[in-house]
Amino acid sequence: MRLSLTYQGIPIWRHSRILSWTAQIVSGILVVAAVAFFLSNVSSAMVQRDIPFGFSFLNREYSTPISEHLLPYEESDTFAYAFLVAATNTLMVSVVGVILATMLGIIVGAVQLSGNWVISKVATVYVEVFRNVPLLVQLIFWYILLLGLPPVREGIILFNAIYLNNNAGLSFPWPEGQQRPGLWLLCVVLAIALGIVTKMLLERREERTGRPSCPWLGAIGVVIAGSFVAWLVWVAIGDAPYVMSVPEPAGRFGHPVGGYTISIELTALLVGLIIYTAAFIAEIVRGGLQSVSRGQGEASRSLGLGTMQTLRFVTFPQALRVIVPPMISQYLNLTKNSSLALAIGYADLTSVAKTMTQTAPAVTIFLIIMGIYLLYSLTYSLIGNLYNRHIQFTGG
Amino acid sequence: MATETAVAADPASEQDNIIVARDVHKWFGNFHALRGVTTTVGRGEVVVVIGPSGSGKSTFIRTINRLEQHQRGDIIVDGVEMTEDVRNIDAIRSEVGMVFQSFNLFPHLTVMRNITLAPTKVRKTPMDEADASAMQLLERVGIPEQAEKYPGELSGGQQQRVAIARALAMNPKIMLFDEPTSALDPEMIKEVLEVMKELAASHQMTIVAITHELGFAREVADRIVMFDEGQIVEDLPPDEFFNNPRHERVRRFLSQIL
Repeated sequence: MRLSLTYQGIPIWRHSRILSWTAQIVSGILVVAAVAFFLSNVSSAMVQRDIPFGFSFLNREYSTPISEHLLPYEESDTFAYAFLVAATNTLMVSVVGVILATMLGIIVGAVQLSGNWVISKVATVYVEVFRNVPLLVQLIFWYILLLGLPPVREGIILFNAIYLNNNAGLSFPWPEGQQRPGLWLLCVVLAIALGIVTKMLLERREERTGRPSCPWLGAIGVVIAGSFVAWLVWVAIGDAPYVMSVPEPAGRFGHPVGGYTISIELTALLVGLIIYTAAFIAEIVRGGLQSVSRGQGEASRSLGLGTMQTLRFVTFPQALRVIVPPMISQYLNLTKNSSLALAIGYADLTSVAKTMTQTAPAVTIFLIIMGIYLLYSLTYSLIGNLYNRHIQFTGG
Repeated sequence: MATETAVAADPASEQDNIIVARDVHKWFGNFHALRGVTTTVGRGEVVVVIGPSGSGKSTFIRTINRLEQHQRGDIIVDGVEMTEDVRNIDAIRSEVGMVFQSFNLFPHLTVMRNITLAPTKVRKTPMDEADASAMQLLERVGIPEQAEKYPGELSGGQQQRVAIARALAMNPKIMLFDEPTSALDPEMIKEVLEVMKELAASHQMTIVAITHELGFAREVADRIVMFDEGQIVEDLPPDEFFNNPRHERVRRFLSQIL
């Protein structure tokens, strides 16, 4: 008698679903086996050669300075806290960089398409130069340039308020909390919430009645008025919540007092990352706007919509669907590229981690910072994908 | 080669002429696309424009709402001269509706929003009013049931009918049709032509249509204008145009497309 292995009347070696399941299971087993082999190999090698591993160092005192930090830090703090300080530095670079690079990139990208020949050529040259030179080279170039500046009193001074020089770095005016600043900020948040409600109400009114109600103007008015009234209340009670603190050179070396000062290392890192990434973003924006067919703009103009209305209601919404995914990947690139700070000596996550390896197990440290970078990247991706889904959905 | 220009504008009747073109020239780089076009279109007139491809007919009707700029001569639309003045251009564009060969519906908006976008943003019509008149227009072009769909979900004929409704939503005085049926499958041409015939028969607006649907031209046109090499070579009522054209060029063209 013939052996008949069949499923649904088909011999199993010809049944597409069974074949695909078998392939999945076999490849799954192979992957698990490979990973297990790799891990056991690494761990036995590490034991044999006495390479330290483990997380117990996290509670030890780091006892090494971190040159620049957003969070308060002292040498007596633990390794775990030092990771947090360094990760915050990297996060700050990433967020500030992403915001400014996006703004610069959108402007340059839009300008490239403008009818103004001179400006559009300048933008094209900018994009081509900064996209085609390695970022590390650019960072070191900016750093050397800043190092070449004279000290504070002879350095670059703008409006007697912004100082750029080789010893202090970049100093600029910064609000300084005076009387319950946190509570006032809460009032501002409330005013913003009120502004959003106002905008929605005015938009609805505009749609219902057709009378122009300037929803944006109304919303911004509410936010400013709310914050201002709260400010007046603070002043009436005693002191303003914030006072603008302007840096002022002091002492023999003229190190600025007041305002906010960032090092030339951080300045060079931010300038380099922003200018480099903005060049890529400009190309993405230009490509996105060009991907919308010419007929769309013509149809919109022929209906009587103006240039800005056409951009806002017709061209940009369609371009956005093309722009957002590659834009997210540029945000990830900027965040990951911030690790090049190591080369110019800003205390970002990577350079702090590298210093840590002198007194703690390197493998563990680098596993931790890989995890942190991964966390940042996945967060950007998540936010970007949610936004992307939102615009795809409303777009149909 | 025929070089004489056709019917010159009669100054006395200029008030009745909603479109006046005098000696209009247009170059694309070195290519002389329009070589002195002079013609007039009266209020409520239906003019069909024909001519071989590259003859400048499409360029000409695009200069009427200034999607193309002419470089010499005058174009006066509803008493407003088309110049570099941005305000004039925007004013004219909302009075001149245009239907394109490739529909150019906005793919990210529903049929309804395609139609109401310009009325609500340019004319500041209240949304519910705009919705109601959009619905009436969709009924007029025969597809009210498609209101909430996106353009990508419609057939070519339906899309072109939405495009006509979108242009009509601005209550234009003039409708320009730039080969509205050339991109359609044969069975859909009829449904679009029916809508256009209904528009022409209503005599509410001036129509300038580029089309090679000669049956349509014979039935509804007051005049047929033929372009060749950037000039108007013939301008006659349909009967004469088909039966007794003055130029050999017209006879040759008709024999090619019939």
